Amino acid sequence: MKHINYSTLLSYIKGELKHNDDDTIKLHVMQCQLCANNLKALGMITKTQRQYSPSPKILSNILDYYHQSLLTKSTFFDTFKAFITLHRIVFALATIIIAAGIALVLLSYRSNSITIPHVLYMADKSGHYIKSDTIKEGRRITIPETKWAMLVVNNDIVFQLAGGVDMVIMRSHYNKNAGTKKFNYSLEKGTINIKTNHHHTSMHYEVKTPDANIQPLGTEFYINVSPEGTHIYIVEGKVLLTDTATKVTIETEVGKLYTISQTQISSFDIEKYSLQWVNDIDARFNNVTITDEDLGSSSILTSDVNNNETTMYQSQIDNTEKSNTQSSALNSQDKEDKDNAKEMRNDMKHDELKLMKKEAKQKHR
Amino acid sequence: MIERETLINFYNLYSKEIFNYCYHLTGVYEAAEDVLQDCFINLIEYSKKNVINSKTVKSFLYKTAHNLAINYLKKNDKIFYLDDDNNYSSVDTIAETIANEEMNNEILVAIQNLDAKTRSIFILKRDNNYTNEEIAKILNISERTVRRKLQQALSHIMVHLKNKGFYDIL
Repeated sequence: MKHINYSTLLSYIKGELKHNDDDTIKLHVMQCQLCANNLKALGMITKTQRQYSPSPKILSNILDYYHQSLLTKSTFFDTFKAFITLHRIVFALATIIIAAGIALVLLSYRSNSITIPHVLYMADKSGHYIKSDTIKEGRRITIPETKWAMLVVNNDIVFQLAGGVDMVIMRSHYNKNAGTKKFNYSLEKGTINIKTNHHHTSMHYEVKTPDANIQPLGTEFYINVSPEGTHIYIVEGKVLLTDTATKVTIETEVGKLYTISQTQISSFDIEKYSLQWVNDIDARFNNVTITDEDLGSSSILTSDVNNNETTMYQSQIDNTEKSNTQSSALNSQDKEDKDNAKEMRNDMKHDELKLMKKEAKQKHR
Repeated sequence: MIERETLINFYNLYSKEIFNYCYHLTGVYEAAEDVLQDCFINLIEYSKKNVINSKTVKSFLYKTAHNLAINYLKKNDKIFYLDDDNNYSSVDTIAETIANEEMNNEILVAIQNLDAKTRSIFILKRDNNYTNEEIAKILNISERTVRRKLQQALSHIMVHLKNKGFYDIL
């Protein structure tokens, strides 16, 4: 006799079989003790157990906890966390947008903050100027007492630097809205002559001395910084002169000498050549004339700093080529000049290093 | 956060079956009560940060109950309970009553000897009349696993009864 398997018996218990099959099982179980036993066991195994109820205190405990939760104020952090959890997609998108924004701002700032190099021309013994170094913002220029040099900025502003000058090219500030760039120089010692060949509205600069702030408005003037104070002699145009101590600002006049010392601004009508320090620097730079051709024709500073840099670079190449042409005329002196220039560069770097070390020591103290 | 009335409604609807599920799974009345209480506390906490969906709340409670009960079993040794008031099929004689009672106790022993997962599936099927699909969803397993585990459970109990000499079963 073939016995009935568990699944058929289970279906029989659950009443899931067809009427005919149901009768067949009944008949078989009556005749087969084994299947009857199985049916009984399965019936007991699958019988739903008695259902119990939890004690009522459970509900009251849960409700107590609920009321306590209502009374407990959630902290700001909890609220914030819940808010973020609820709006995590929005937050993720917002974070991406903010990050992209910051990246764009940084990139634009980077493009605006490109520095314009300053070209330094060192004078050799014969009075020729050889392009020496391209000096970036933030660097210090120290001219030894026996040397002299010219600093050309943006192919326009020419700084004649006498021996003993100590000057720092400060970081420039770019005004994006106005499209202008302001250069800052800090003259700490020595005599310089500044001449602007063009007047550019997009370019401003300021020279700071220990006693005064000098803001030229398209002009030529001399500055001398000594322990006695700052002396400015105006040859052409106007200069806004501010006393650092008193913050008094005056507009200068042509042919006058201004002295700022002991918190006072004094002015004197004086002939240019009666000033020894003016004569000294003029004597050094007497034979030097820098024309527009020397500086290159495309010297206008626009708000696009990148273009400027390209223009500047091109002009420098022009200048180098021209100086090369000039120097080829002096074949016999050419090699000597180059050697001298190299020597001067080394001297200057050495002095600069010394000064930096000195400053570092002072800071350390 | 969930409203008080909603919470009470959920409790009235599901507390009994979840309690029985926990009771049959752990075998300890107090443990089942603790698990039930923790289930609803979890629901309150969950409602603080999420919107409660009445369609999924039952599944949520079962899942929580299952995890808490399994944790309880891991921490404590299996404590076998003796159900002293089982309503099995009608009997005629005292001898049969005693025999049935003994057999029922052995069935309970066999159930308690099952691993926690198989036992959980067996209880959900037997006492809560869940379909295999529903059990699979609650326990986050496949329907095939549910079927296999149920078959294993049944075979295990039958073999246990046979070994105890109750019937000459297959």
